[in-house]
Parts: sequence; structure tokens; C-alpha cells
Amino acid sequence: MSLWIPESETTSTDNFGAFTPADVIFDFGGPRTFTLIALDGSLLLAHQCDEEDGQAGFLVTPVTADRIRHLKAGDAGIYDTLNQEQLWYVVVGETERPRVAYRIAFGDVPAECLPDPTVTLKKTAAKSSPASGPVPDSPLALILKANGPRIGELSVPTSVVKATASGAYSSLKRIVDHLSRDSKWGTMSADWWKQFYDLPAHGFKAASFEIRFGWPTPREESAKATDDEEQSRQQIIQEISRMLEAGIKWCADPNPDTLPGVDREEGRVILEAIEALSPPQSGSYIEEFHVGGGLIRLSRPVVLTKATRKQIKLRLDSERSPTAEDILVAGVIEKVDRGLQQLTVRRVTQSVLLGKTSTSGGNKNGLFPEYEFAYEEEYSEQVLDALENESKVYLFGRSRPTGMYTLLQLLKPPSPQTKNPDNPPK
Amino acid sequence: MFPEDWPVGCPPEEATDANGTYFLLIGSDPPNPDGKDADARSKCEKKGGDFCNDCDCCGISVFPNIHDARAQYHFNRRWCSEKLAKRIWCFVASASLQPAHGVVRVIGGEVETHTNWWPQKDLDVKARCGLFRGCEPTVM
Repeated sequence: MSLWIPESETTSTDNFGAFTPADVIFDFGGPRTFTLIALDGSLLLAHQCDEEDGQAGFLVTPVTADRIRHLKAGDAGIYDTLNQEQLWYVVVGETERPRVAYRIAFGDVPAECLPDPTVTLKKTAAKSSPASGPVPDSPLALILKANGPRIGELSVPTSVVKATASGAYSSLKRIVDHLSRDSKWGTMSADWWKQFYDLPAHGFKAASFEIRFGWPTPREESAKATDDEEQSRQQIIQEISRMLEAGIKWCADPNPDTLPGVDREEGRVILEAIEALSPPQSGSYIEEFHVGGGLIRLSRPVVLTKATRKQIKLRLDSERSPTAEDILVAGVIEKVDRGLQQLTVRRVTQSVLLGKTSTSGGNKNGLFPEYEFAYEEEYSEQVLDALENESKVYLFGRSRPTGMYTLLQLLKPPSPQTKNPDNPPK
Repeated sequence: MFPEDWPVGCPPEEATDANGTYFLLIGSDPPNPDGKDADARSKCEKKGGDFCNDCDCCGISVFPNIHDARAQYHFNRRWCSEKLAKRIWCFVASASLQPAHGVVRVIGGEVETHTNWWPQKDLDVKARCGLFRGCEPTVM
């Protein structure tokens, strides 16, 4: 890979002076985004976008002090700040002094050399007003439009309505369930978390069926949110937006060797969320979903097709196979944390670890340790029923990095009359 | 002992002895001193300006766990550009830092656990790079 060099003609580097930072806006291993004072006295913004063989490439544009304030506060993005008519590309050498400069158009810059259109400085974004989301200029969080040759103004089957609504619901819920298990958000009620996936529908369009979802709004009982809650709320919206965008970008160039997101677990969650947003492969009405709204602010239209869903499924299948550590546990659910949606299984009589090794006999006394599972809301009723009845159940789960398992299936033993086969009532 | 040319009061009094495993984003496997891995100071010095007198400019960004190092990579990729991130932060390596290696302090930022490590004077960039092992790609 070599340093990007524009095809346009070079221009003088004189006005950039020694390229000395006046105010550093982003520093990581050295100043990456900073202002500098040009020799003619104008304020410029320099943003590093490339580096190779001891040379670094910077996008440089005039900027106002007000814009810098907004950039630092997290309510202006670096992409929009650079997207100006007057733009230069300056190459600096080993000495960090300008070697050559080009006058360029923003559209000439390769996509791989540009920042993400939605990124802002997160550390200060939390200070933004509670009413603002990641894209405060958008009145809607998510727009999902189902297209297909048989969907028309007066011919929207209920199955299309259901698939569109449940696609949005399931996709966001998958992400929110993942986020809610991170202890950094503190203890929030299940109802509080629900606002992020049970979005208010603000409108419908039937020509090609479309649902327009508004931003998450606190439910009535939690309307008087504390500052901390509001800050968390904004951060969670940012996280949802980031994860959805990462998934959509992966789908545009699906590499079977990679996953979107920051780690493998998050990658799986992201793909499952985008899978839910894609048209069902079995249905005959919906050919594609057009996805938009403030949660997803990519520069190009986002269209998810049945092929998208198939690609994701193939990737998830390969992820789920041999290396996954799945477990089957037979025991009694003795403890449930409804807020965290976690359960503890004790009085374990059987435990089979699939994938790597198998165990079936427990320790020398035939006893097994207790197991902890995290479960999703769809299992709540079954879990609470099993807790109340103290009945033996079979739990199928997948290991998580924390040592806990994710509940994938919960089954009762075949004889419903036996309340507790391991410890029958006297 | 820390370099005499660092600003007065640097490292800060609040910094504590390094003691534990830390993760570093780097551009080559193994870490390359010539590639400026584990060397933020020289870049700042060459650029000059007031930032050169900022104590943070003398430190090296590390993270207490690989998840947070990757989260920082993800942010850098979005903020700077995909090309730059893939070039200079494409690997993550770990080191067991001891008090003899210097002091650390959480400075936060885009990732809450973002920590500055101020290495001891006798630990030049080559020695620093030698501490970090177990390189693996930042993006799986």
C-alpha cells in the first residue's frame, strides 16, 4: 500500500508554514487532528488520513473557531467539517514539515482516506442536550421500507406489515440485549431498556410499505430521568447506531474471514441484528428492505435483500460451528435476576460440554458445579415458571467470555407430573 | 527517573507505578521502534508547538484489556480513516509492565480506560518495543 497521491497539480506549501499545531483536537500517538495558523493569518484545520514510508497525508481546510468549538463539543462531525470547497492535501515528511501540497476537491478523496460521516468526539457527546440523538437533525430514528413487485398502495398483506415491524423490533432488541449485559450502564429496569427497541411508530406509508420510527422515548414511569440516565440513554443510542452501521458496511463487502464490530461476540450480535432487518428468505412478497433514518447515516442508500440475509446466515453458521462451546445442562433453576436477565442452575444432574470435550459424571460424588446463564426476554416466562415450580429443566447454552452461558433453549423433561424428580416431595 | 526535557510536573503526581498487563496498538508485528511504535514523543517534538509541552504528549497510550484497545482502534478508524488505522494501529500487543518500567494514569477520552504510560528514562523506544509481545491483528 502506498501513500495516496492526488492526480491534481501541486501548489505551494509556503502558506502552511512549519505545520505546527496550534490546538490539538485529537491525539493518539501524536497529534492527528489539529488547528494551525497559516502564514496569512487564517485558521486551518489539519486532519491526518494516511501514512506510509515516513510520510503522512493531511487533509487541510479553512475553519472557524466556532466550528472547532462544536467539533470539540461533539456536536459537529469531522467529515462535515472537512467537506469544504477549499481543501488541500498536504504531505509531510520525516521532519513533520510540509513537502508537497495539492489543491483538491472533497469528492476526489478515496473513501478509505475519509473519516466516518457520523463520527463525533464521543467523550463530549455525552454533554449534548438530552433531546439530541446521534443525528439530531433527523426527526426519525429508523425508516424501514419493504419493496417487492406485489406490494402496492392497496395491496399490502398483513404478513408484510408484520415482517417490517418485527424486523425493526427484533434487530434493535438483539443489540439492546447485548448492551444491557454490560455492567457499565448500571442497573436499569427491563422497562427502561425497552424504549430502545420498542420504538414509537410515527407514520406508515402503503405505496411500498414503510414504517417510520421515532427516537426512543422514556416510558411514563421513568419520564423524570436523572442526568446519568439521560447520559446513558444518549450513549446507548450512539452504540446502537455504531453497531447497525458496522453491520451494514460489512454486508456491502462481506468478507467471510471477518466480523463487524470490536470483538467476536459483538460481531455475532451485529450480524444477527442485520439479519433480522433483512427480508425473510421464505416470504414471497418482500424482495428488499430500504433502511434509513437518523440511526443509520451512511452516504449511500442502504438496501438489504434476501441475498444479504443468506450471506449473513452463512457467516453466522460458520461462526457457530465446531469452535463454539455449547453446553447442555440438566438441573433446577434456583435463582433468577429479572433485571439482569440472568439465572443460576443448581442441583445439576447432567452436564455435557459440546464442541471441545464432554463431561457427564460430575465430581467423585457425582455433583456438578452451578451454572449461570443469561437469557433473553422471550424466555422470561419459561424461566420464571421453572423457578416457581423448582422443576428439573434442560438448558442448552453457548459460552460467553465472562464464563456465563447464553441460553439458547429451555426444555422441560418429558414427564410433566413429576414436580422435582431429583428431590421428590415427602 | 524520567527524562529531564519533559515539562515540569510530568509525569503527574497522581500517576501510579505500572503494575499489570497493558495493551498497545501498533503498526507492525513485532513492534518496530523505527516505525514509531511506542514512541509518541518524537512525533510531538517534531511537530513542535505548545502541545509539545503537554505532559500527555510524553506518554504512550495503553489499555488494561484487549477489548478496550480494540474499541479505541474502532474509534480511530472512524475518526481518522480506515487506511490510516489499518496502517499504524493494525496490531495489538501486550506487556506486563512493572514499577521499574514507569508510571501510569487513566486519562480517559473516547475509551474510558485509555491510560497514559510514562516510561522511565532508561527505557528507550527499542526497549519499550521489546516489552510488548503476543501481537495479534486488531481486527479479527
